[in-house]
Amino acid sequence: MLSLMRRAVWWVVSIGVVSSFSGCDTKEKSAKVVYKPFEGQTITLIVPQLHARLIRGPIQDEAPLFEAKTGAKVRILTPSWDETIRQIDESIAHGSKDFDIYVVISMWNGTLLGNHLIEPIPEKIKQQIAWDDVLPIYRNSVLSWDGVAYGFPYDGDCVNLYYRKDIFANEEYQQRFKAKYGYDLAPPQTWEAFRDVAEFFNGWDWDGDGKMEHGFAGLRVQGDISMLQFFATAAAYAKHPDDKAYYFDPETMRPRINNEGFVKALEEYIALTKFGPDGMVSFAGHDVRDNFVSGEVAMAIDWADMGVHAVDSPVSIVKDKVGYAQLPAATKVYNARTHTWEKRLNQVSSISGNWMFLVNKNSKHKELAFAFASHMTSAEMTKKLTAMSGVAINPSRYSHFANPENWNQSGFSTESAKAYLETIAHSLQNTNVQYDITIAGAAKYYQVMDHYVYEALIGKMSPKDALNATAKEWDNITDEIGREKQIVSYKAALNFR
Amino acid sequence: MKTMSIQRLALYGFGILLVGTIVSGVLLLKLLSNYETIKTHQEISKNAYDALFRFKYNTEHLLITDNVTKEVAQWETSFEVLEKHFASLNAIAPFNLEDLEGLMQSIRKAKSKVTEHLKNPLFSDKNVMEKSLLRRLGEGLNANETSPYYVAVRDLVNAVDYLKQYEDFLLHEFQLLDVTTQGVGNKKLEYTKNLVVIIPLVAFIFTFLTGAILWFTIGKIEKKLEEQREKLDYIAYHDHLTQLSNRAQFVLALEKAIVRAKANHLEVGLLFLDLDRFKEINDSFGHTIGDVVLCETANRLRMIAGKKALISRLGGDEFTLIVEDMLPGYLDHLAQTIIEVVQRPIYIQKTEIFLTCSIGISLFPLDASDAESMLRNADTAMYKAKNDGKNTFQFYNQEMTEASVARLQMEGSLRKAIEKGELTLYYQPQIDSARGKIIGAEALLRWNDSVLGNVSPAQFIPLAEETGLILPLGNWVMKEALRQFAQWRKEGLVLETLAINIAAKQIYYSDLVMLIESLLKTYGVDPYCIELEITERIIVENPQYASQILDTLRSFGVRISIDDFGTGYSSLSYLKTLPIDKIKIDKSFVDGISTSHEDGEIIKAIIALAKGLEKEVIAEGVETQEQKAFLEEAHCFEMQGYFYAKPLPAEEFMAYVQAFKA
Repeated sequence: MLSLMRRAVWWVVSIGVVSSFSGCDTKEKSAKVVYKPFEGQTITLIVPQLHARLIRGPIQDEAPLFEAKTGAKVRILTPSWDETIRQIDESIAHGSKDFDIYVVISMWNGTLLGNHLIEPIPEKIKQQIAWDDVLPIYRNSVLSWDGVAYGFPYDGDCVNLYYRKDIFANEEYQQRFKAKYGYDLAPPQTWEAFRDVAEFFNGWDWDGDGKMEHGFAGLRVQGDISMLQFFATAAAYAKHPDDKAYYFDPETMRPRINNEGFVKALEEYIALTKFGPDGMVSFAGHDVRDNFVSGEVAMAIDWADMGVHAVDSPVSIVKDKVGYAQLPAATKVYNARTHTWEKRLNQVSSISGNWMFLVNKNSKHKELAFAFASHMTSAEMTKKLTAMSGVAINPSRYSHFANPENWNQSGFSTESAKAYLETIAHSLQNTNVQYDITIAGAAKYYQVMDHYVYEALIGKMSPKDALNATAKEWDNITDEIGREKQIVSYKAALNFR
Repeated sequence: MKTMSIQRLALYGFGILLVGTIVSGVLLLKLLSNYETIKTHQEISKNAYDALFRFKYNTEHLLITDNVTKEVAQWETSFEVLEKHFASLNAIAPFNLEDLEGLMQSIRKAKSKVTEHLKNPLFSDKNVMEKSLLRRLGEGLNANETSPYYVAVRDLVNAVDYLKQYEDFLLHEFQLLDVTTQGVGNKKLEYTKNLVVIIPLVAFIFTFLTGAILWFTIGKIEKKLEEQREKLDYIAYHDHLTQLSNRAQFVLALEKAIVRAKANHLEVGLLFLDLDRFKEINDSFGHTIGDVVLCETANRLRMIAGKKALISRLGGDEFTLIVEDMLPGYLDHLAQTIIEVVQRPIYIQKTEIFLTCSIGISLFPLDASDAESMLRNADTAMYKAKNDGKNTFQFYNQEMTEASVARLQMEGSLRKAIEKGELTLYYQPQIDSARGKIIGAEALLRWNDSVLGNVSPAQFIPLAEETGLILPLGNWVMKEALRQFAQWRKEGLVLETLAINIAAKQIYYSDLVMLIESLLKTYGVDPYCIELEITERIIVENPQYASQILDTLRSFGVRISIDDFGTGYSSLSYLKTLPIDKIKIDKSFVDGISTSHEDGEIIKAIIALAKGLEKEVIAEGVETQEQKAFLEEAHCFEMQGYFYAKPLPAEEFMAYVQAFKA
């Protein structure tokens, strides 16, 4: 009896123990483990906040996708233009540790590249982003410093002239124009012609919409990066084709800003502003584009964004009505080395701007920074972005110009796309190129310039005085930074090597 | 495997349960502590998030408030709260604390920039405008973009915007941290909750299992102990050799039987069986054979009465049978059957052994009222049966007890007599009729007790042998005889021989050789005058040993004579091998000279045998002239007996010798 009871207890215990384990969760873990190479790593990127979603828009769009794919975290700082300048300067002053990636234009090259604060692009990454596909005009100049590649090609800037093909083709207007100016109405080849066309179309309703239209938009004076546009237009007078230098004497760093070429250019610049819409001098890039595509002006001076905006913007009424041309030339150019005017047709390509990704040398996560920069500047990514309006990303690679029919998806007709690309390509083939100030203190040089040009515009100073004052302050800035250093830097920026 | 003791097992069980309880307790305490930690961490994380959210809210309000001063104060306060809660994040130690520190540092820097801008007198109370900064910015833009006012507001907006971006970054991190902390915390809480259920469950199962194992093991141990106890009980109550009940079991059984009998008015019979001459079997064939004989006897008893009586072996060759509720006459029948069966020959190793037994029977309530008395009475009856010639049975009666008591009294008296010197030696003259000369004397022990009077040697010598008193008695006899012999010699009485009787135990259980050697020296007695009389029984017990002792004594010169020759074993081979000097013809043959032709012939044969073997011969118990004449005719001239003289005290013996000479 006793043993029977013992046996029974034994079985009860055994069943209890077994059943206590049988309740264990046997569900299979079906979650697939995906390798995320940058899990737990964070980088901070700084890009100035321009109008709308320009430049920063695609970065903010892509970052979450990149994060999801790689496990990384990309913090995007978008201060205002001035704040960006201030924060970058302050960061550099405190050891250059705050930002892993700078998304800047070439005006920071001297500050960042010249001071060796940026990590050169490794060969492996170069191959990854198809470095050779990048147009030499960019890769050998703004993207490099002293012959070393630093910049990831995000945007290929090139300032061109846009005009209303349909209006220019209007026979009545052609006749009226010829009657007034003695030559045929055509896309202006020179700044004199530009002035005439602007004047012709300014102040009357040439499209029959019941509103008064204007001659052109695009000569901005204050805010953001307006000064780039001045230098783009001034180059025809002040950028000698045989002289790589433009802003300074490369041997002395004496400013050329107040030479006769620049004075002439500023006088023209100010004179032209009266053929634009009210407030044009304060336009942001987007304002220029909206004015043109909405039929408010007959011409526009702008980066290549305009082409896409015209076909892609919801406010555009000029789809397939846009003509493309290079910036007008000057009939004479000032030789800063000889201090003389030379009578020659001087057409200069302006690649002012050129947004690029720079990886901070002090970044704790360079691999990640390179990966994100590569991702954003790959041929595929930039090709997609160049065809997108409102982001200000323009062609910078050979591959961007291939297959114009591919641009159909962004609203271009093949013919229009072809013309658009040909114009840009033509500009980029020009050997006389105007680049931005890229040496250290560029922002300061620009801010001073910004200030005095405005002073001249509102009549407080004559163009000559304004530029003299600018030259004086530029010298101060140079001395403050170190003239010798700036000389070396400027030469490096010109890639004299 | 060695079985663990219950005490040790209980100790281990207690230890295991104690450890289990402590472990469970510690785990539960840890879980409780974990719970507190989780809640604290969740609280810290939430507080940090809330503080930052509040700070961000206040930051945004800097630009839309109508009361900058008030808003700035709130903004500063909320930042202090944020700093405090941020510092407490160390307690959580998030994996990205360094990153958070970096963001917080950026916020501090950006905030200090905003603070710097806010210090601009344009934003002071004196310059209060009822519109918000953002509106002022808008108005500034429309009015005069280059005015200091516009520039100040724009710079402040930029600084605030920059700060807000870092606030967003940190807020995002805090959000992640909060989600992670809450998620991890909730997961841990879930885990803790499960453990809180599982631990007691496991503890219960553990306790249950431990209990079950203890129960199971203790059961096994108990069973084993029970088996051991049963075995010990069996050993305690059974005879190892025969597997019969032993004395202890017997006593208990008898007591119980008496209790039952008393209750039911029944009778109990007790048979006390003792094997006759079993000692001789042991001595002759060895103990191994003796054991076989005992086993066989036990088997035979089982066969006879296995179902009707409790058979026990009390020890040695003593067996008992308890018979309950028997029919009248059954005990007689049983005893008779046992006697018949026991005397059947036993065959061991081709040897045929004959055995008999004596049985004493006592009855309850007739002979005794308790177990002890019953056993004693049965024992007494058994002795009576033995005294009656063995191989028989005897019922107990009161007289037996009385005889037994008398015997005991005699034993006591004998002891005292030895101590008090109440024993005396008598000397019976030994005559050489041919020479007409007293050649010696046989020392004979006499006991004249103050109470019992003259006690016959036939009574007290066997008693002395049974009780072991024979040893001190024999030694005393030896000493006294030699002393007297020496005394006589001093007094001028010179005898050729002094015969002294030796008991078997003196040979086997005392140092007889040393005693005699010592006494001979002490009294200066010529060893050749001393003649030790031994019985055939002494030799038969251990011929080899006896021969060795006798040889030693003879080497001193002491002479050996065989007493009572012809009445016992009369092994003729002994005459050949043993160191014997003289044969004494037993009185029984001498007594029959006149009446039995056979006795006369035997005497002649013995005398002829002695002569042939060159042994001396002497006859004892010569009481008549006829007997003397017969012996002389048969050429046996040495004799002793009442014809010449009865045993005499030493003084009288002296007188007799002098008178005999005369």
